[in-house]
Amino acid sequence: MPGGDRVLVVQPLSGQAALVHREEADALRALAPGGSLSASLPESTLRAAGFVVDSEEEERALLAEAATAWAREAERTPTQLVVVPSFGCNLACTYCYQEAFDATPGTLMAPEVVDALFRYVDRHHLGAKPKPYLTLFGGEPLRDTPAHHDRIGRLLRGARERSLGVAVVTNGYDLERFVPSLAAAPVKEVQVTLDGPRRLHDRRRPHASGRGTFDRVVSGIDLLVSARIPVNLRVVVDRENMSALPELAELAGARGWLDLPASRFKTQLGRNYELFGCASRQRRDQLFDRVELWARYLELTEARPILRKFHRPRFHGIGHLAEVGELPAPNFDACPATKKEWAFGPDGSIYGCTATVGHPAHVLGRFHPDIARDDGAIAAWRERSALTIPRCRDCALAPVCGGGCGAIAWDRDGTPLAPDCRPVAELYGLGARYHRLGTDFRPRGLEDAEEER
Amino acid sequence: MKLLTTLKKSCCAPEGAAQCCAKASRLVSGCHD
Repeated sequence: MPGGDRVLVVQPLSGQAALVHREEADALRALAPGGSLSASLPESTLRAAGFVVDSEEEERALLAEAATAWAREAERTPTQLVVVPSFGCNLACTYCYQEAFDATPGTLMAPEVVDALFRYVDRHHLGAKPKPYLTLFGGEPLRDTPAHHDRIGRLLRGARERSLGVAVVTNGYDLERFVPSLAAAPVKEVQVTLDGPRRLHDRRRPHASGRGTFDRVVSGIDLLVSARIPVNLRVVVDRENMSALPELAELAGARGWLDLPASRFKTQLGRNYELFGCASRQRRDQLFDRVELWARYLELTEARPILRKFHRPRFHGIGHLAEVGELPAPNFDACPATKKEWAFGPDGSIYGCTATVGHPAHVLGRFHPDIARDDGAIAAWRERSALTIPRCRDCALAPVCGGGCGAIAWDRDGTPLAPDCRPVAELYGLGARYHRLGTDFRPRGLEDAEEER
Repeated sequence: MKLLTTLKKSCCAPEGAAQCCAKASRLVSGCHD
């Protein structure tokens, strides 16, 4: 844990975590080559928690049990069907990752392609349990033109007729014109991006004409809140806007967003990453890696506590541990592509996920004019998990990292069967400090229950 | 050593597994972020 003399020990296979002194951690590490247990460590607890095992066989049994728990969780996860009505967009964000491969900007999904999409969904996804949901994505799906209103109306209607949930990812610029139809749909969540206070947001996410977008986006979020449509506020963070997060948190507080329950308003901080090459106007030296981002956020939160109300990061399950005293289920697969996620382009192409949609090398089939699937390519993606990626096999972090993003791995290695490693140990350390897993730690849920009594 | 979690009892016993191994939490997914 940064800034202390304690070490967080985690056994993701059994879901157990403990704090030990540095010298105890060293003694545990010394066991790996086959040493004997130090008398200062409680042997029965170490064994019961799975921190110490006697044999490869015992470890394999733990792994098998964890893999079963993971499979059970995966069965309960609905599949996300991402629909891109158009790759066109009315904004000109400085870091847009799609600009590198968007060959057909402005082409809107034709009515017959919407019909074909639902025929495909009926055939391949409607029978799944739990039921899948649609996510409208882009480009920008919500643009105030008659043709866009028509297509969004058709998509919402098709979803409603099949009792499919709908989520929307939007830049928020034309939200005012869409809130009535979204409220009637109904929509389970709208993700809107706000990159900071006006001066920063407008510099990073200007309209294609060059004018600012901040005021319209903020009004759009207010309208969603008034219509009781759940909002997921995304902030894309790099060195340019990180220090302005407290200002954004104050704005969110002043508008009453932070007083809403999590079911109606939540936030996410996204990294500004470079997927498939470099965004033309992105300054490379402004980008964070994951550890830098969360270390800086932790530092900022300690100086400006309002950020605790704005966004509480999860740190690979440490947030869950802090809240309920339990680690989440292991995750051997961070990549949902072709398993829990599919994406559909406006021209009838099928892709694996939001990261690959629109990339010509990642077309996995067609749903229009005829249905065709590239079974070989799909199988390569479906097979991907930390249990099958050769370089993940001996990694202790695999049940937490899950092999990372398959699209990034593909970009680097030319195959999805390669890892996109996550700095799990460093993020655990930062998470332990952020969530105050000190010696007097008690899960927050228990504290709340005692206070109520 | 301070354990931060609750030890699960006889997780490997088939009759106990359903309850004590069950976790209410969802998968922690990261994707490309």
